[in-house]
Amino acid sequence: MSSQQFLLLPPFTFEVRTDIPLVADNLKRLYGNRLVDMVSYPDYFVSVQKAEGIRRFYRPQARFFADQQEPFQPLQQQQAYAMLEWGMNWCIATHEMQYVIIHAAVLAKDNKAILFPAPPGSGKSTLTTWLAFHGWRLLSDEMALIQPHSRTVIPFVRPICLKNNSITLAKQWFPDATYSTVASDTHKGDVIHLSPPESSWQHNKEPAEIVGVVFPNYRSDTEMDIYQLDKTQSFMQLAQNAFNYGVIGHDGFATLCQLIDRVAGFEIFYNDLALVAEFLQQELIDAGG
Amino acid sequence: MLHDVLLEHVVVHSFSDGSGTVFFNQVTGETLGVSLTAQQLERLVLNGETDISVQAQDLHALSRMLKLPSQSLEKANV
Repeated sequence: MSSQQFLLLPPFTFEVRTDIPLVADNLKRLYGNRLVDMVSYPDYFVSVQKAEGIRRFYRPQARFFADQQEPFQPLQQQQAYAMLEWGMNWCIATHEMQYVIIHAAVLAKDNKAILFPAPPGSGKSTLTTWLAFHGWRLLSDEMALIQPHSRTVIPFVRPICLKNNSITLAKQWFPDATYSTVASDTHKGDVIHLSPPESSWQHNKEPAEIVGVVFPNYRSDTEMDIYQLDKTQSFMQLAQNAFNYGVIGHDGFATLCQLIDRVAGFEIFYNDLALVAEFLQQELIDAGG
Repeated sequence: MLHDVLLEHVVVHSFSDGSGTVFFNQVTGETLGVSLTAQQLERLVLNGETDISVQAQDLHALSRMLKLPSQSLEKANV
């Protein structure tokens, strides 16, 4: 039995079809009332479907489609929900050229936003989780949508993607939060999605002004080391984490240059999240904007 | 001026803290950052001044952003 529902995820809407109960159950659990039965004009039409063929009897698989495209190889069916989340990321990263898109978490206080650009394994999502459940507003765990020629970042609130050890940590810290089922043995290891706090969902149409860029690096043996980056270093690191800046050309380049010229950039090595929060508050939120 | 020797599709920006300059080729998407101000780059590129230190790989990359043949830059920095 296939279901068809719509996700209201400002600034976009998705039509989601699936015949996999695991996907439908996780969508309902994580998105709550953002999942609706009718939308006039969805921006994206995505589906996660059971794969056909003989393999379905001994190792069932799932396939992701965005319109007529199938950007990924089929995955194990128990990974289908994670596949849907990654597929929605793919839709935005490959189609939305009106924004400069950075692979970064975005969190804000008082509408002052900090970008956390980082490659996988840097502890970005663990830090994001901790901050989002300690009074910071989550705008995105995965991608910063920046209005060209501005410091304005548009929220794209979605569940936070946690991997491996961070799953255990998050469940210890926030046992009452809402988690998806585990997708085990993915190319990223074990993966789970965590619904952000209700306050982040409620403000998912409110842009924020970027006041700082922080490149996080989790180090188990380092409580807190902070390095202020010069602007050339900040730019080069930010550009490496940009999804579409090479494609949109001069507007992307100019936007990142203007942004870096106006805000401070730091690289941090840490294992104490409370210290990170204190640093962010004092150095960027209280002083910034 | 530095702009006069840039390739047609290359844009450039020098940062306000004087930490360096970044180049972006809008055709290839290549981005380069060097720890030289616009003034230092002009002295290096236009005047061939030799007292400006640049790493060899940066010099090579920089030559791909300019109309000048790479040898003229490398000679300047020998």
